[in-house]
Amino acid sequence: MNINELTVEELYSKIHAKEIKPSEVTEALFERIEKYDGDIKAFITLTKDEAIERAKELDQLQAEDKMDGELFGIPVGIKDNIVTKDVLTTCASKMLHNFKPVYDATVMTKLKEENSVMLGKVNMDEFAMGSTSETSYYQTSRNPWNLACSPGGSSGGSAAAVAAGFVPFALGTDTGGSVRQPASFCGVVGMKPTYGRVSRYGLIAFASSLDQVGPITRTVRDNAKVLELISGEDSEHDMTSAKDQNTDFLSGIDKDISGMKFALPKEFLGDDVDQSVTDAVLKAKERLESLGAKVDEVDMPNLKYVVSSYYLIASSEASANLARFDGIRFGYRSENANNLDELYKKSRGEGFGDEVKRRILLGTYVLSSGHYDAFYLKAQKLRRLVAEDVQRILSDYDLIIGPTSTTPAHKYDEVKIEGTKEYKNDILTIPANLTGVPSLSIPCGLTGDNLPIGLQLIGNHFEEKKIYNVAYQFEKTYNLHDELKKLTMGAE
Amino acid sequence: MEELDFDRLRHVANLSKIEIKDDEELKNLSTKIQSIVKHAAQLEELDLDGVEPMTHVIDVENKLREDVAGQPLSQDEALKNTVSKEAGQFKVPRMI
Repeated sequence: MNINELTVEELYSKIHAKEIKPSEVTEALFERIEKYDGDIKAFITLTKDEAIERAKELDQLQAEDKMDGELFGIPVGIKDNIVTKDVLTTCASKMLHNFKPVYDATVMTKLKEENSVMLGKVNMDEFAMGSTSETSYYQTSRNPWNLACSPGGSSGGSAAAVAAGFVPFALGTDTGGSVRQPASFCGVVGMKPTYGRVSRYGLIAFASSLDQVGPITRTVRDNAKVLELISGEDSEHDMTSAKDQNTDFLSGIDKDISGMKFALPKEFLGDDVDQSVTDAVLKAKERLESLGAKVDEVDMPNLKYVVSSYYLIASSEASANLARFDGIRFGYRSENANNLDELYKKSRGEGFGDEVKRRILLGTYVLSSGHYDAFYLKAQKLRRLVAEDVQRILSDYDLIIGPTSTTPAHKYDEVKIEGTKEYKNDILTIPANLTGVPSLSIPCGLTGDNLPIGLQLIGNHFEEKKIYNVAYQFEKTYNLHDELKKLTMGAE
Repeated sequence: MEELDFDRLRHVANLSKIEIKDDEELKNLSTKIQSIVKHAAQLEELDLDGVEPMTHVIDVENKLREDVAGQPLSQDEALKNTVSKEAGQFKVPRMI
């Protein structure tokens, strides 16, 4: 038995049957991380001592038959923009190189209550701004399927860690596709839940009206299970979670999907989409039809405007959210400042990387006097039109389907794509963020170069259960479970 | 639409409290920002009159809690992550 190949559900059964101890699981995974993470570079911070100590406490509880918690003894990797009490939380930025939060994010509290064991904090694009994991101040993560390729981003460390068998599940965050695109690139399952499904308390904010925490796993059932455990109203804290939620996603996951109707917007298979991706998605469409579902082509006329709208809104919100990094209360402080104004400017100038500065500057410009109407207001109006497109389609169809990303993972040494072309790759994931609907990426094929391709399933607000039902049935017809187990991570 | 030239960008950096080291950095930051601003001009081709701007994607209402004193962060905890403190306070360079 290779412990690194086990899913969340399999680990749960084996730990409960006392076939393995929590400490054996944790130690086996650290062994694998130590062997391969020098190449993959998924983790920024490893919490080995704390994890093994906690796992040994759980061994004791296992021996006493006191195995409380749905994730008892099951390891997790946490994206480094989710605050973890007393554990370095950097947002992959020099700005937070020394930041040890004094409290846990709600999602962390929930995982701890379920007795999950955190192995460490995983890499990301700096402040989640990017889609390659290259803007990290600390390291560039690699794709376990091909070390020359990006794992995607911004939750690239989360997806790479799950694909590499370092952890059975990880948490990522998704503002414009940052859970789904890396899940697609790494051949794993990633969910961007409904806006408000999961509390954002303790998530270091990028764009508050778009951000959402979501699970990355190797199977659909694992994903549904983890989302059940981290979602729900967080009554103690502010406004970040929706009330009166039904958080049962697993019951009925095996229901027949025949008779369901899916919409495939023809703009989702436009000229910008790689042929390999189009082919895999059309094959996925046939698989869904073979399960008795009906798939129609529809129009989503405003899709071509979503990238503009997204960058204006996300950058505007970022410019406000990142004002909190003042060099005074936490994080990096410049040593070259002679007065307070210099302290702000030098700390921020030296602490933030280029991509973060660009977005703060863009957001500040967009919100500044004379430009608000031209940019921000138009972007918010376009957001309404996209939401109306999505609602119009979902009033006739169960789900919207399409590719997750326009391309498979790109090679790092490929010539850098300039300007907005790089940003345009997010065009297919952005609609779910702008409109707040849930969206899942599951593997649906491989390119000729053996790189995974993701299928995106978009549902209406709070309809994650339906998405998981369809994804689970689809997964039975196509999955990469065996291929993931065979990944050699560069070794012969 | 007013062009986002270097002077304008320096002004925006000043508003953002971000020091730009030199012209090279300014140029490096400017290229991508310019291309996004240019691309965003496509929104002008849309007729958006009468469209309500969307600020919330789901129905939300304010949550209020009872006005009861809770346990906030202690002073020690609040100061734990600062680089410089003195007498239980954040310490900064002199302002005047």
